[in-house]
Amino acid sequence: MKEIRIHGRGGQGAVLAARMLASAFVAEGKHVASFPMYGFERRGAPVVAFTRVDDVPIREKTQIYTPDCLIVIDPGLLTLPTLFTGLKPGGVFILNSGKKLEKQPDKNLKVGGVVNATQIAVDEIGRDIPNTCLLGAFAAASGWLKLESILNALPDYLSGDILQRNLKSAERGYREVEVTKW
Amino acid sequence: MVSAQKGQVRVITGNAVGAYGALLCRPEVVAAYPITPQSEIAEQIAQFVNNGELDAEYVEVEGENSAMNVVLGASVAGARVFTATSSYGLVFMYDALQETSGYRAPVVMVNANRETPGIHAVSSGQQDMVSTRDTGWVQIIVENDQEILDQIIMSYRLAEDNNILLPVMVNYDGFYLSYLAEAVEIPLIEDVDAFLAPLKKQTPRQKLVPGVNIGCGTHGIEMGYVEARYKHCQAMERVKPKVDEIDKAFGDYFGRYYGGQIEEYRTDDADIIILASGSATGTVRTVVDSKREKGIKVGLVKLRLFRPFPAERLIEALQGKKAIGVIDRSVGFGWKYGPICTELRALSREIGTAPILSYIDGLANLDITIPHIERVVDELDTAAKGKPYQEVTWIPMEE
Amino acid sequence: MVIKHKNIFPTESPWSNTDKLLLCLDTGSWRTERPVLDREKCNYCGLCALYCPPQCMRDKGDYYEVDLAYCKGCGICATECPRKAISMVPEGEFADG
Repeated sequence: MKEIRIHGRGGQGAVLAARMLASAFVAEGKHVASFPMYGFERRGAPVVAFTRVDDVPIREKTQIYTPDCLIVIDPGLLTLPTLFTGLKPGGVFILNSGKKLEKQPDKNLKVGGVVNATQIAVDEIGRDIPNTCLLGAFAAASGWLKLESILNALPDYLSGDILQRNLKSAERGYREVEVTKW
Repeated sequence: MVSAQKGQVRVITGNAVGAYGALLCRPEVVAAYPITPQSEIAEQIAQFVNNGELDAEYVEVEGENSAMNVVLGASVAGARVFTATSSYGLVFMYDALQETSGYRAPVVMVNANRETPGIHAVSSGQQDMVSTRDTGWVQIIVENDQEILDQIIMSYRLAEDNNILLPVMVNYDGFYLSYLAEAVEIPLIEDVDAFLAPLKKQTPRQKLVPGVNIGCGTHGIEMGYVEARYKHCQAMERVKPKVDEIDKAFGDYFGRYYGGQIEEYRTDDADIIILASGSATGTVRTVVDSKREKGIKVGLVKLRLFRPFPAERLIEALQGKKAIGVIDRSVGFGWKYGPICTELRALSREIGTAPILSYIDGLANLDITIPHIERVVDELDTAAKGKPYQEVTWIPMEE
Repeated sequence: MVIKHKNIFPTESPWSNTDKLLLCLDTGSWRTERPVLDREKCNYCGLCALYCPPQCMRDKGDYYEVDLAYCKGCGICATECPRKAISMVPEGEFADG
């Protein structure tokens, strides 16, 4: 089983990203369970979304304490002291940032993928909604999903012009993510 | 017997599933007020009605008390109805809940479990269900998104059965299930129609009709009151075997069985048992399997039916066991044990001499984690061996 | 039961001393845009302060200034200002944003 934890803020699409991820994995024949945790449903409030993926049905209904992968949509959240707590060895880290990763953020991390998803989103979608771009980056950096599965999952959630723009954003995330391995 | 066709598999949240459950059962009147963590059900059903997918009268109400009164009125006028709420909303309709069951109106409602007023918490917990257990409703608790959908369908078959005629509350953990996206198989509406078709073969139930001299819910003076309450309680007793019967019929038709009043997981040869309900049961299954691999004979009894309390099935499942741990996701004011534990203890004499340990955990969005459950198993193991044990544990207070 | 939890409330029922902070959410970190006041246009009417949901408009004597520690960037002040003296500017455009 793989456990993915997504950190974002309300309005950035963290919750939707977790659901799109779930759809993409289901399309590849996996079992998924994905849910967010937030107290107050407001824009700007920090949101955490938990996605579990496995070849067998997922029974646990708890938050994720030992993630295999962290996706951070808002770079401001990097200062969270507990961000990397419990990260399993061989972990994957996907970060939305315009700056490169200077050093290995945590000793348990094996793969880091950085992409300026905010910029790409503003370019392609016209708004700072970096979620789909980061999903593309995730597919490329982790190798756990085909880009195709993500692109096929998006129409379940978006349509029309906004769908096309997000497809481009996801594709660019896939191609432009800078992957570092430790 | 003919089976249902395979439905469409979609990745959707528990709330969306609640709305689909309503859609598939074709209610004629819906009145629901939004409240976290259920808001999306009210919104989604409104969308279904708006785009013509659901042919229902959607009454916009200004609060949950009105919501229950609206669906009660529609129900006694003969309509199939649906509503949804949570916590503050559920207690806001407290008087209407009792009217509904007293009138024997077959209302089906989903309740996204959330903590109740007193200490403001926008978070998961079963306190709302527990605080309405004496309203005369059937209360069922589910474990995952698929079960929400399936149970809504089964609830209509239960509620509208002429031998039952009781309102049914389908409880699922807010936050843990309401926003949980999982792959869910959505049956075809024709198959749901077929499953609910036996209800149409019954003598139509009494209903209010303008111009016809018939009343409902009149004063019960002395023996009128006693008789109505007696009949209500008798109906509650009939719910128990009926839940098992409907579960079997559902499983035979759709291919998914849930066990009825309770589900027993690896209990046959178990020495120790954990009794749990709701989404946490999924986590308990994982621990049961891992502890079994270490040689501990532990099993899980998943409580599905809370009201009426499935006494007979529980006695059968727990008789002769060496220790039982009850995980309550709520508190019992007036007893030191959690609510479900207190009720189980009423069956102590029939169950035997096994120690019954009470665990209160998972309040206010605090997880019932794998380490917590492992601790429960270890303590049950100790108690089963005759060693001293702690009768009541509030797990979060000990951390 | 061995209780390890350290009480948050000193009293039996959940009373809290509002001199001390019980729960202070760092809501200023939530916003994605902030209100910027054009002092020339401001006539000190106080409507922005009145409508501000977290009540973070501070009285500066002849104008109102937002308390950025708590401002969530909802934009209600900008909408309500009768002089259109407040504009909402994306956080990215500020050095401390």
